[in-house]
Parts: sequence; structure tokens; C-alpha cells
Amino acid sequence: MGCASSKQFKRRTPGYEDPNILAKETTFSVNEVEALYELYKKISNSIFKDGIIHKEEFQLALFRNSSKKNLFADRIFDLFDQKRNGVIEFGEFVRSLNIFHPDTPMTEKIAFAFRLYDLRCTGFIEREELKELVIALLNESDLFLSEEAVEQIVDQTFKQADANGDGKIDPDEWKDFACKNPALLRNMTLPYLNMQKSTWARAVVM
Amino acid sequence: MEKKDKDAHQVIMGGRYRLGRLLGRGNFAKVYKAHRTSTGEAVAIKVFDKEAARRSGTAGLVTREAGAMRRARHPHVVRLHEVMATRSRVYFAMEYAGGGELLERLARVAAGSRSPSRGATSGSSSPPSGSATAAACSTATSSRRTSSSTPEATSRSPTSGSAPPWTWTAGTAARGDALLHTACGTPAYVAPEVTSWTAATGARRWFLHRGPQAPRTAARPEPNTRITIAEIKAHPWFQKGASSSSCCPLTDEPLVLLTNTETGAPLLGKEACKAHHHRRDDDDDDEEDETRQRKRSKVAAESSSPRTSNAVTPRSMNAFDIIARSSGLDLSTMFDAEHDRSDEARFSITGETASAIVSRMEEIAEARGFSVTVKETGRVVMELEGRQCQDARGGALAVEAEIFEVAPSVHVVELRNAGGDSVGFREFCTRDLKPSLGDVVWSWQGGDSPPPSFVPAARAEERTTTDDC
Repeated sequence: MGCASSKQFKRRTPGYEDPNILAKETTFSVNEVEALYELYKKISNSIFKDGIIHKEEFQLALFRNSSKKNLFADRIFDLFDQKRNGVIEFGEFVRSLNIFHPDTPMTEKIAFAFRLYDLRCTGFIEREELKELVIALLNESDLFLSEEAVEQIVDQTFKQADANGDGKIDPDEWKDFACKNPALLRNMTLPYLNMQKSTWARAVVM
Repeated sequence: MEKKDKDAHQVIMGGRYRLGRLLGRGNFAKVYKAHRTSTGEAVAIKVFDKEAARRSGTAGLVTREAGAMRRARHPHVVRLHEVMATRSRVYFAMEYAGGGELLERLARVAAGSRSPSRGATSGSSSPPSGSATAAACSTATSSRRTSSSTPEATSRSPTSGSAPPWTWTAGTAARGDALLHTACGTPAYVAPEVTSWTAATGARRWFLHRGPQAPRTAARPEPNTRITIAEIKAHPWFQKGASSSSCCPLTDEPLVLLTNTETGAPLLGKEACKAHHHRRDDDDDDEEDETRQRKRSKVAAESSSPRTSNAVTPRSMNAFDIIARSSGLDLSTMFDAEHDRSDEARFSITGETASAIVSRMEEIAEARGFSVTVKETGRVVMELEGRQCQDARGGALAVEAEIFEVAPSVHVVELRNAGGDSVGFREFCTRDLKPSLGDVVWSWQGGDSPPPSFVPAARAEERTTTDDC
């Protein structure tokens, strides 16, 4: 195997990492990492043929539209971009998707979701951040609720989640809240990543 | 091998199904019972081995079966929920039909009742729901039920290919049992004449177990005791136009056992005949769609729609629940090019109680001929078993609606297409639901905007105010 992959290695892109190393670090097997590489290649060459995922390419993959602005997609992109260099490299792609694997422990998913919603990276989910997120979703969905209704929703959520009542949700409170409402994390698991059992692997392989 | 197989299936499949025991096996598929992890609903998972299918040259049939079953929505045909695949296997997640094997069940029923009369009105004694039950909850493996019901759907559909998905071989010569067999060896229940015909005469169209009395007689393994086509034709049900090739037995129409709604007793003779013709008269004479989109018998529909409209306590939705619905957080589109959000729609309603919303939706759905089931949590399941309107393409349609409370007096209703094609679903949303809910709906959201042709501009009762489509 080593032989074959070193031969292929030369043809691969700058962000490429050895599947063996990635497989050790993540829940994926070597084969699965290779299947992910096929997907990565497809996405990263969709607009700029440089083998690295740019934000436009990421948006294209998510929305079939490269110029669609979406706060949530931006957040996901920023979290995937662990090196903070404005692009997603293959290693980052695999390590980040690992969080979405069905077998990844809940605690990791909870922590990822916390970072996702902590817009200003303050270490807390604040009231304003939550409101901003709700408004962004409502706009995205063309659902228009009055200011009052939004306040009501946010208030109610804080009542449930902010156990110590200090007006912000800290990681421990978030953990308790997420454990009580597992549906909150439904987007943090992608059944597709369980490649033994999923269809897209077939699409990639065949 | 067997043991290893079993162990492998203890795992949760794709995060969605918990696999259980083996229900049965056919020539190239095994069927397991499974439960949906999210709802606990029982399903049957049919597992095909890709390699075996490829070797036996039946790979095309598997695809065909998926295609035909996906389109077939009928109370007597098990539903195909989804198709999954790995490198080595194909999985069909299907509706679970308990009750054991059809033939055994019939044998049991026949043994319990008096000696069945041949030819004449058969629903006369037990079983209580006769042909309907026997056909509806037939096999443990479901495969027989599907294989006996899908071919027509395919061969009659104008868009499908010309060859039937199953090769029907007259078994008289080949197997000596005077039964028709599908390509995989499953015997089909047919009239004795059929087995003496060649496949070219259209034998595959005769599925006499659909007849009013057929399951009791036509399904018997011994050909000499099965009812014949002549006997069927002599029955009052088939007298009218029985000679034409488009007569009752050749249509795809479910010949459900018509029952009296009050007593539940089977309608016999003239009554049944009347009910049947009444049903036929209702239909549009659009020949092409006729067979697939037949309105389900009103009698049957009414008896299957329990109504509990009062006690509705919708689940509440907190801010994070709302956020989690963003399409930006849904990475599955990266993996599934066909992942389509047009099978979902969402709208919010202010100033109404959940019960009012439910009864409102019930009214609309029932006006369109849906059968409606309401769950206490605010889930409304609407099923249309047949034609909704003249240009409904998918025919049958199932819509699941769930009501959430986001704030006092603000509710969000999520609609999901639980069966039928997206065009039909969109149409239902935009043509039926949206205009009718116009004065309570605040805003509307669906994945992508539907094509302009489906904007309900022509509707006189169009009342929506914030129409963004």
C-alpha cells in the first residue's frame, strides 16, 4: 500500500495528507479517508482548479450556488478552516468531518456546536448572539416574526438553558441543555459518513 | 458465514435503522426486521448482495424493483421508504407487513371456515376483512406481496420501459406445479388458464388475487381447485365490459373488499356492485393516468381514518431548535447530489391555537380526499391514496405535518413529503394548503421556490398575503 500511495502522492494537491495518518487520528478507516478524498477533489476543483476548498466552492457544494451568503455556512467554514488561512485543506476537511461521524462521542459534537454558536468566540453563547442567529435563520427561511416574538423565543430559551441566570450560556450549561435536547444536535451527525452503510460512497466509488 | 452475517447486522444501519431478526430469504435477497432509530417504527430491510445479483444477471431487476416500488403507492403494496447501498450490498427499507406468509395465512383461514364455495359470492363468511386483509398483510418477507403487485404498475406506466421487471415463466412445463414463477422463483397466484398461456399473451396481467373473491380460491396451490377466469367473468362485478381488454381485472385498481362502514361487514352482491360502480363513475376518464391514480374506495378510506382532533399538545421549539434548521448547517447536500429540500416546507402561524390549526388542516386535507391521522403531539399524517386532482402526477401522496410552538400563539408547521413525488407535494402545498390557510398564515417558506407554473395564480380563493414564490 505504501508503495502505491507514494506514487500517487506526487500527483496530489498541496493540502493532501497521508490517509494512514488521518485514519489513525479519526474514526475513519483508510479506505474511508480515500473515499473522502474523492469527494474533496470534486468540491475543491469545482471553481478554482487548485485542489483547495475556497469559500465559494464550499457554498456551491452546500447550496448549489456559489454566491449565496449564509451566516451558518460561514460559521461552519470558519470552524473547518482550523489554520485560519481562508481555505479548507484536505486534513482540515477530514478532521472536521470526523466530528459529524455517527460514531464520534456526543461530547465532541456538543463542543463543536458550542463553538459554532459562539459567534464572537467569547467562550459564552450570549443573548445577543443567540438573537442574531435566530434572526439570521428567520431571514433565511423568509419567516418574519415580530421583534417581540423573537425576544420571547430567546427569553424562553435562556430560561431553559441559562441555569445560573447570568445572561449567558457557558459550556457546562450548554452541555446540560444539549443532553436534555438531543434534537439540537441532529445536524451534527451525518449518516453519510458511516460509509459502510451509505449510498454516497457508492456514488464515489462506482 | 451465516453467523458472521448475523453479527454484522446487529449494528445500527446508517444511523437510522436498528436491525433485528431475519424474517426470510429469497433467491437473492434476505429480509430483516428493523426499527427506525428515531421513531421506533418497524420496517423490513431487504438486503441484496450486489455481487450475487451481478452474477445472476438480475442487477437490472433490483433497480427496476426499486423504481417500480417507489412509484407504487397503494394500500396493498408495501411501501418502499428508502434505498441505501454500500459497496457490496443494496438495502431496501420497506414497510413492515406482519402476519406471516400469504399462502399459510390463507390456508389457516380456509381451514377455519367452512368449505369455501366456488364461484359465487365469496365474502359471505369469515374472515372479517377477507381479501383486503389477506392481500394487505401478506408476507413476512414482503417480497411476495411486492413482486405480485409491482409488475403491472411498471408495465402500465407510460414512462417505464417496455419489458416487465419480472420474467414470468409458465411453470407447467418448467416446474410441473402449474404456477407462474417470477424470475427469482416466487410463485404467483394466478388462474389455471393463465398457466396454460404463453407469456406473450399478456399472462402477467392476470393477478386474480385482486378479484373480489380471489385470495380464498385463486391462491390455492392446487390448480384444479382454483377459480377460473370464466368464473370470475360470470361474477356480477365483472359483467359490465368484461370482454374489453381494459376491464376491471386488467386495471391497476385495488379491488378492495368493500365493507359497510357501520357494521364492518362485507358488502355483498348488488351492494358491492353499486359501491364499486359509484366509485368508477367518480373518476375522470383520463385513460393514461386512470390506472395509477384511482381514488381509493371511499368506504375503505373512511374506515381507516380515526379522528382525534382535540387533545393536541405540540412540542415546543426553542431558539436552538430553530437555528438547527438552517440549510447552512445541513452538510448532507455535500454528499448527496440528489438531496432535495423541495420535499419540505415550513410556515408559521400566529394567533391560533394548535388545535385550531390541526382542525383547519384536517378540513383542507379531507376536502382533497386525504385520509388524516392526528397524533397527540401535533403530528398530522395526511395520506392520499390516489388521485388528488387531474394533473397530480404522482397519484398517491402522503404528507406529514408537525406543529411546533415557538412562542405562545406563534406556531411553526413543518410539512414533509412522506411519499409521492415532489411535484405533487409542491402542488398540494401551493394549490391546496396555502390558499386555504391564507388568512391565518403569516409567512411561508419552502426549500426552493416551486416552478412558476405551480404558483396558484388562477385560484379565485387565493388569499395569501405574503407570497414569496
